[in-house]
Amino acid sequence: MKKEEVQEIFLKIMKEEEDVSAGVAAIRTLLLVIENYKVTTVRELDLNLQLAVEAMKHCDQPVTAISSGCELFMRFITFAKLDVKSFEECEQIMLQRGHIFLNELLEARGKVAKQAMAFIRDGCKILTHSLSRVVLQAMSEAAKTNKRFKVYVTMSCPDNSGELMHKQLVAAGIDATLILDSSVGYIMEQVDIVMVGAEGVTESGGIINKIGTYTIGMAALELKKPVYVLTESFKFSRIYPLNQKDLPNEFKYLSSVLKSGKDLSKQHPLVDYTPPAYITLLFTDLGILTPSAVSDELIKLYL
Amino acid sequence: MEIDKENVVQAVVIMDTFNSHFNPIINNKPMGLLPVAGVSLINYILEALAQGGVGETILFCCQDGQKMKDYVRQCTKDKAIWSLTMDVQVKMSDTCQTMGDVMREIDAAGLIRGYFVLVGVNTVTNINFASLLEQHKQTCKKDKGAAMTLVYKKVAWEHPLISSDKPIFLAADASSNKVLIHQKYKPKSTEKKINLPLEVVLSHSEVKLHHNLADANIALCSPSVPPLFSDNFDFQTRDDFIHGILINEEILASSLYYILLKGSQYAAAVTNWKTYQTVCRDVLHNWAYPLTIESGSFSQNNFLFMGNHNFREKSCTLSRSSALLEDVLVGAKTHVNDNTVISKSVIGKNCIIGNNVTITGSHIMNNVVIKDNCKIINSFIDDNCDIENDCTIDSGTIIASNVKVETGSQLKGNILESTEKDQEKLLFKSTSESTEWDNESSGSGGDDFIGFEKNWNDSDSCYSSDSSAETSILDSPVPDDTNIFLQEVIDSLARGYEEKLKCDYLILEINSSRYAYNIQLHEVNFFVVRALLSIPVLSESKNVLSTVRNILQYFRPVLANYIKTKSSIMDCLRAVEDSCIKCEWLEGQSGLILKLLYDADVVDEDALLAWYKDLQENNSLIVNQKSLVKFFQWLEEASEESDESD
Amino acid sequence: MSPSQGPVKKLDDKFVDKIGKFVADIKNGKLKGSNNVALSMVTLLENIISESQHATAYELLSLVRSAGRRVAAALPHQLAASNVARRILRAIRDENRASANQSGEASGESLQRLVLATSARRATIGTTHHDLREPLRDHIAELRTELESSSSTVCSAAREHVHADELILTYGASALAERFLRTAASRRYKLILAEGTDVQESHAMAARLSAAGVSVTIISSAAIFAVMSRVNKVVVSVSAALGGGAALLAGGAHAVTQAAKYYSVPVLALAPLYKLCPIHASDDSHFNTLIAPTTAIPYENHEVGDVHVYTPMYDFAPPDHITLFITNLGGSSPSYMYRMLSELYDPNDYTL
Repeated sequence: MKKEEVQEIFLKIMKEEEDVSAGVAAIRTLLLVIENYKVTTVRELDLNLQLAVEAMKHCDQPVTAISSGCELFMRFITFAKLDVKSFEECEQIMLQRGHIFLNELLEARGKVAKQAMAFIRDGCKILTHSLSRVVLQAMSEAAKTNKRFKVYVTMSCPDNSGELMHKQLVAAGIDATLILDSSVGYIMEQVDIVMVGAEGVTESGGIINKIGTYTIGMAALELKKPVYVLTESFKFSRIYPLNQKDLPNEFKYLSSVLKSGKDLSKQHPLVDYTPPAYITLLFTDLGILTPSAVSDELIKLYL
Repeated sequence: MEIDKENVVQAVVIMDTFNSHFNPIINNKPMGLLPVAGVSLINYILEALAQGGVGETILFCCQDGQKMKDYVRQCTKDKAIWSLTMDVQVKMSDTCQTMGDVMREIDAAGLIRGYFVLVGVNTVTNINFASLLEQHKQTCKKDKGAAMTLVYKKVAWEHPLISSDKPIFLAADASSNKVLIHQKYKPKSTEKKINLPLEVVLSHSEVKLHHNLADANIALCSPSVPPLFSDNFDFQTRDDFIHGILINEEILASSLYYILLKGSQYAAAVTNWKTYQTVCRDVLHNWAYPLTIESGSFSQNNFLFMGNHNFREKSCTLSRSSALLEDVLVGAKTHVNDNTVISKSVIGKNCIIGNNVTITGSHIMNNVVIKDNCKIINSFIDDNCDIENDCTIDSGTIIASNVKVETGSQLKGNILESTEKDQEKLLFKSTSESTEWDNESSGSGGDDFIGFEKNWNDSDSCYSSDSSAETSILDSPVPDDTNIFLQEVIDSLARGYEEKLKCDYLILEINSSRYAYNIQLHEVNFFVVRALLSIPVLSESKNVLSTVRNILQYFRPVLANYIKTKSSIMDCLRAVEDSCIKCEWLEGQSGLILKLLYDADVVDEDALLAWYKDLQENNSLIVNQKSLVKFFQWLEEASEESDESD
Repeated sequence: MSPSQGPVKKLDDKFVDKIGKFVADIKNGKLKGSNNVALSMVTLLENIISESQHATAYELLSLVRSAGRRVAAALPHQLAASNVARRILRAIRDENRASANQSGEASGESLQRLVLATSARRATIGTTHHDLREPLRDHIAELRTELESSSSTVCSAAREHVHADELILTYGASALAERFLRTAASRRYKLILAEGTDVQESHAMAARLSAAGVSVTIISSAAIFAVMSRVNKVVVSVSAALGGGAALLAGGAHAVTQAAKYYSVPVLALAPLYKLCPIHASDDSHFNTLIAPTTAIPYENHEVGDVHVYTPMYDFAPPDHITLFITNLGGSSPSYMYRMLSELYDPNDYTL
């Protein structure tokens, strides 16, 4: 199995289906790897999957979601009772579980959106950051129920993904305004709630999200606005950063930048860490959680 | 709740108001089904009674009783909360014309077993009836003859509940709360003095005077009340009862007491359109807690509170550019389209409101379609109406159900009803006067008319050309003093004519009658001429005209005595007009009568011309009578001649 | 399909009658106080369960759920009633699991279940035909004893939280707070009672506490901020403890908790378990209503309709205002509330 093939599959999924997030695409890739690359022992399968994950991490795609999603996936499929006679059966079981896992994940976004809808009041103003498919879905569903609300979207440099979010919001019939990243402080007094997505949720209950989220969190806390994070549960990961520097470099910078050996202190990071003190509630498919409940969930899983 | 029959608190709800304040809406449905803030009146009173501890209610319907029965049955099937703790009976009667008749029927049917609560269907309240009835029973223990305890709510001095209805003056003994004097004034009355008999003050150590009470049509009654009604046939309304008891206290051995509602107790009666608006607003503002829009009493909590006392039902859709300013209630499944502004209004279910519509201070019932660019201000639109584009509906217009209003119509203070066969057509029925409806925020409260008064007393209607003068609302057919006076004058004149009495004596008789009935001078003029033209001998005579001439000749001194000044001449002419409309024997003779009067120099030319102009302006019924037209033509020619000759 | 996703089951008429009477009693004021409401709700549900035709888990769940929904729709601000319904639903599920021997399954969603579960994960309610009524009766009896003793259990911790020579502030009239303070009376503390909306009741409460030996000072609610700097602790009783550790307090109490936060005064919130509510305060939660405006301005003074008077029933205090919730099971911080909620209720029942 070659790295390039895996990357190709992965990138193909990412390009063709815009709606699919990086984590889900990674998991689908892994499933395809199990299906297509036949091996004879469990150990080989494990190695294959690990190689595949490595390959995907070097694709210049957001690594956070990929890494947490894949880790959960691996844990999920290997938790099955695997003491059957033949490897083929084993593989079948794993594939089956893989598909179940994937189906669960695909429904996660709908569940999150449904819970978040109740918090979008009629006549409220929402501030959101960058492109998040979950937030987009939540807002579209709220708009369908005839709630009237206004959304401010930050442009979110350097890739200006906020513009895409704005376009999609307007297409869904929502009153959306594109604002500069630097005008967050200015606009914060007018908004009622802040709603952001997350690329990863840390064990402390904080989130890893597009750069600029931390600033928004600080401004919101100062002006006493609630910050709601909409995320699926497969983004929970085991890292516990204590400050911004603690985040692994592979999360912060694109793999191409890391490989090129440039001086990292002169590069712009892509993500930042927002500590749990700045987050009011997390909306996940497991329910509405406070940041302190996140670690509880993770502990239940891993210990 | 296991309550034995003896201890059940009973209540009687009079389902009709016996007046036509809410015509034409009441023509097709019973008063109980008139919605206030989206819920029928009957629900308010039943819910209030059930929550107030009443165990058995008798609904007495005189009109559309079957509809009420069906409605109550449906509610009981739907397990409305009040139906679980309260037993509701519906009694129907076709013969009752007034509340007094209802009470007599109740007495005859023996439905009341003890102390009971008497309310009208138009009451909106949240008081605890059971405890107030207990208080009444305590009063009865102290005073065996206590018949009724009236329940009043103290309101602010100029509160619309009083200023748009009849203000009450109450004098009562402070220690026992016994009512000593009770007087109702006409709405917007300008009386500035109150007459307080001295013995009232002397015989009680402390007398309380109240002038700021709102009558909520609630009374707590002893078992003696229905028999009192049966015994006294002239008690037609509760006010008659009160006056009768106060005047004849010893004879009837009964007395009245009163209670003021305190604190969070709210009570109000919906008596006319103005109070309807006030009560709607109070319910929206939560004064009648726990009967509120939100609290799930009625609509099982389907309304969302949006600030500024706006409520919208969960299933209604509001466009993004529409605005609900304040005090708005929007019902289920209603669509409000772009750029529409709604304030201080109640909108029912399943309505469709178009673009650019302005709705202020109005009440719109269910299934109404309002197309674009309309303005609806201070109006009431009943179910199933269609309002086309670009209409302006203003100033107290009442539109009954199933009416289609054409594109671009301008309505100001009109009443529209649909004709029976063709449900789509509108019928412009009557009245340009008097349906102004105060817009609270406009502030021009002072001179406006009170909602919707129709003048029933005919002699007054052609009387007041200035419409803001005193108007009388007769809500009961009590014989007016003026009618008695008229009859007496007719009798005097008839007798005088037959027996050929001297006119001086007749004048004396007429004057004494006038003082006996306290008739104003100009009314005397009016009635004398009226009486002259109504003498029985006229109606019997073959040649009306010659008889009239004879009469006028005979009574010339009388006429000369009363008809001297310009205003009295106008009174005389109006009386003629009135008689010609009313009396069939004078049919078509108006012009000739006028000629007689003119020839007799009772009326002069200028007065005649001025009066004729008045007639034309007011669209009087006789203005097109041939004889009249001919007379005036002749008059003009005569005046031209006399001008030329002069 | 689990009941939470299906349509509401139509209740028999006799059940609707019972529920109607229950609602009517509360509305007429015959049932006062959330403890009484909760107890009556237990009785009501017990009757419904014992009179129901079927006794399978699925049937009972649907029955209790629709009864709970009806009561919640008629009385949205009586959260104790819907909490009791949720407790009973949890009891039914537990019984079902125990009888179906599905051991080791933690209730509710979790990452663990996500990972561990087999394909049959979804069908939480088996098609067992066990008659669950008998074991349920035990659960319900336990629930009833817990409800009856909740007040005394909460107050038994009073002496640990109140110390000698402390200045305690409380707000408004509340039976639970009064009992708590009376239990702690032996500690010789001083109490400041801020008048709530019901002034007469507050004064009566102060009189009773004074008779019990507590030194009480009454202040008007306008003076709360002024005295807060001297106060050592604030003790308030909650109307409901919401998900996430927020609290619904009596109207006007938000001023107290805000002032306490400013001066870093610890706030003790008394919350017996039946007041713990798993829902969050959001747009669709209707439990804050307006009560009669007469507490703010009497009708006699209200001449013009242009004045809007709002008197909300409850005040919302966010989680960072409360230091400690005192429940039957001891104290817990607001951030730990989610744990207690997950133990009391099943996540499928959060929305009835």
